[in-house]
Amino acid sequence: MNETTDQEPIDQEPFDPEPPREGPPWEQADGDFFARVWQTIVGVVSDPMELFAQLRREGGIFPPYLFYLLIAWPAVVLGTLLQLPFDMMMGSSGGEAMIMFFVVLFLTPVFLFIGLIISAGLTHLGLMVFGGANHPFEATFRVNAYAYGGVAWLNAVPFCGSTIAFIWGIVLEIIGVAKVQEISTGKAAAAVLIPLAVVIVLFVCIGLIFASVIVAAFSSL
Amino acid sequence: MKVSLQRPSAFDWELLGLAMFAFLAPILVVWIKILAWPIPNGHSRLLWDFPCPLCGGTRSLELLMSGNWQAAVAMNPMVTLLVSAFLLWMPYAAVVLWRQWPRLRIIGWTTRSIRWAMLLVFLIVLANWAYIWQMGI
Repeated sequence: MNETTDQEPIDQEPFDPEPPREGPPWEQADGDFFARVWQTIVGVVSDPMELFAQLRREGGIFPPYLFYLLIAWPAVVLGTLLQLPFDMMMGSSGGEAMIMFFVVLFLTPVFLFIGLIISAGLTHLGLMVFGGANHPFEATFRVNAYAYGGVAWLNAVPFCGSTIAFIWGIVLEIIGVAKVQEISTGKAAAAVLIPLAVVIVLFVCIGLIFASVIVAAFSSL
Repeated sequence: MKVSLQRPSAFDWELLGLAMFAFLAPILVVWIKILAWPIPNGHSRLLWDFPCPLCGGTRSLELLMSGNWQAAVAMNPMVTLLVSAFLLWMPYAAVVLWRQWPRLRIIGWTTRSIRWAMLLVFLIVLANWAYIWQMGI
């Protein structure tokens, strides 16, 4: 006898209008390791709209961090290595330059992780302020890792490389945030750019105060 | 491949461009004009005695900011033309955003046309690099 009546809840899957996201090539189980890295970089650079439209909002922060680390670590180390002769021309001794290089070599993974957490945290804070945090922090972190990781290879180019990577990364982050959090371009741009501008202004103010304190201390001598 | 007028649906590139300008331009103006901080120089010529494709880029930007367009082009044509094109594009972006008009879009990109476009960009960078090398900038 069927005991289901009109009053009883019927177990069924919740209606999800969005088709499941496939994830970037890097997170696919099959395929060659280097091919997956390459295809993800190409995807981020050439078709970020499609890549971020397919980016899953869950799946952990380790796979995107690993992708970011794989691209950014060698690039930062290579950039530092290329800059060594310039540092030595500017007065650093060979020993100092080598110590700096090994510090960069071993501490970069830690700094990259901290930087990514801070960057994603700032963006997510902006999303919460502007009412765009439709999905948890993990989704914002994943966007940041792929956005900045996809252009991190530019850090290998000394001086201008890191600047171009930073600006391009911001553009990609705005696209990614809009796609993953399902918000408008304006909201995404405000959530990414305004916290960043506040931090830059704070840093400039602290720098100016610090510089004026040093100048005052030296002038009183 | 053709230029078409379209309603913004997926992503508003005009808004993104203006937002990036509103973010970067004050930084540049405060850095160069108000604080008068030095701009980090590229060291390609210093180290290897040959310029990089962006050599003279910041100097051309400074010349452009002081209204000296000709000198800016002579310093680095590619950077000057890119920045000038962006500055010309901005009023269009502002107007279509304000009036909510359809946007100019190049549609129907094929693999062949993407390859040609990439080749064109590569040739422009190469020509600019050759010019900088020749002029000793």
